[in-house]
Amino acid sequence: MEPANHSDSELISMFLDGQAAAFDTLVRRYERQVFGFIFGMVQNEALANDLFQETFVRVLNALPDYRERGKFASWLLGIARNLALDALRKRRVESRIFRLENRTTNGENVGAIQPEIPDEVESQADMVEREEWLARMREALAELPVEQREVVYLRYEADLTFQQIADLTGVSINTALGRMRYALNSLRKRMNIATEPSTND
Amino acid sequence: MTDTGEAPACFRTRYDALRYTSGELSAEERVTFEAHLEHCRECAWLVDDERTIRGVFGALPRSSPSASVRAFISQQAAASASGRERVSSSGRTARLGTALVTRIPVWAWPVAAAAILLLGVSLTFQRDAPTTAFPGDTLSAPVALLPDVSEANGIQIASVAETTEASTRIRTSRVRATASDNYLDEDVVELADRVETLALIFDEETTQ
Ligand SMILES: [Zn+2]
Repeated sequence: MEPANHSDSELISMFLDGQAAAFDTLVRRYERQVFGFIFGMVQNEALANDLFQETFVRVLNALPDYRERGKFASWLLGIARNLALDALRKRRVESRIFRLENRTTNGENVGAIQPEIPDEVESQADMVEREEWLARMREALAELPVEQREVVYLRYEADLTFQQIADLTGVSINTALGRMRYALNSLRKRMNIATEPSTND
Repeated sequence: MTDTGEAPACFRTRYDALRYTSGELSAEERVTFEAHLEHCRECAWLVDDERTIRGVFGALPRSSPSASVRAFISQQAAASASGRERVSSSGRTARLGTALVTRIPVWAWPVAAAAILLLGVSLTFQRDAPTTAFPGDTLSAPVALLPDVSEANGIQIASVAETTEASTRIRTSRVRATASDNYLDEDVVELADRVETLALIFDEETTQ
């Protein structure tokens, strides 16, 4: 049987029995969700790669002690989430430290670490409008407060339901729904999406 | 006027509309909501907005992990499967934030040791120590090294203090996570994070 046909827990057992390929299958199975979520959180490709690697290395090392309490995917995303949140906190600390130092040293703006917004949107002539639209969306996403951005990416990129998002992030489902609503509202405003229908019936 | 994000008047906008879009309503709830949708503009707008934004989101170009990251994970899996090795062969430390720890240059170990002391976690650190290769393991008298570091750069102390403060905050929030999760070596990995922060600062300063 192809590893791809096995359930997560079967793959875990296979891996623990010494079949390395089973882990590769798990990685491939969740790669898009996990990377998409991490990237959404940190908005930086290099950092997302680091954190993605770190997530799976941790999973790898934790698997022997892993007791299935819920879905593997939630556990996996929980690890990714903690790493992403840590990275974001660390980046805030760093930029604070650098600001502090810049004040005390020679005033050169050396190390101000800002979240990098990938800007590879180099529009081709005929796609300008679409590209601008997408770029605006990406900017708007990057500017969302992290707890809102998290819900958006867990919903759209990791395909979680609101109940799963609530469980993963440790808030009530109403809070998760509220965060999504606020996020959608900000995005709508940034994207100039008219909420009011242009006509009435 | 109607602002779907700010306290909608309709309770279904708050509780049902988005769960409708995510397929979380039961069949019965769904029927009820769809009937409601016919005459509630607030709900209709939110459902529309959600659909539009999901569409734009879906059109965003996706990036995926680099080939080297994929290969590295696969390598680690192979090493781990054959004999449950926890440390990689290529000199990268698998068990501790691979990407984070390996970037720290040798001169930063004293800083690492100082951070360990400041955080006061050297004991908890021992818990999972046997299979780790954390640099702090090999430093027996880290205190003595701290003045050198601070002398090398007066700012270092402030940075250490600031980092410690941040770390304390993070640790507090970590207690819960550690209690409810299967993570290994949280404190150690966290230390590595802090150390890397210090290393970055030091890098910045020494390359100026
Ligand atoms: Zn309504």
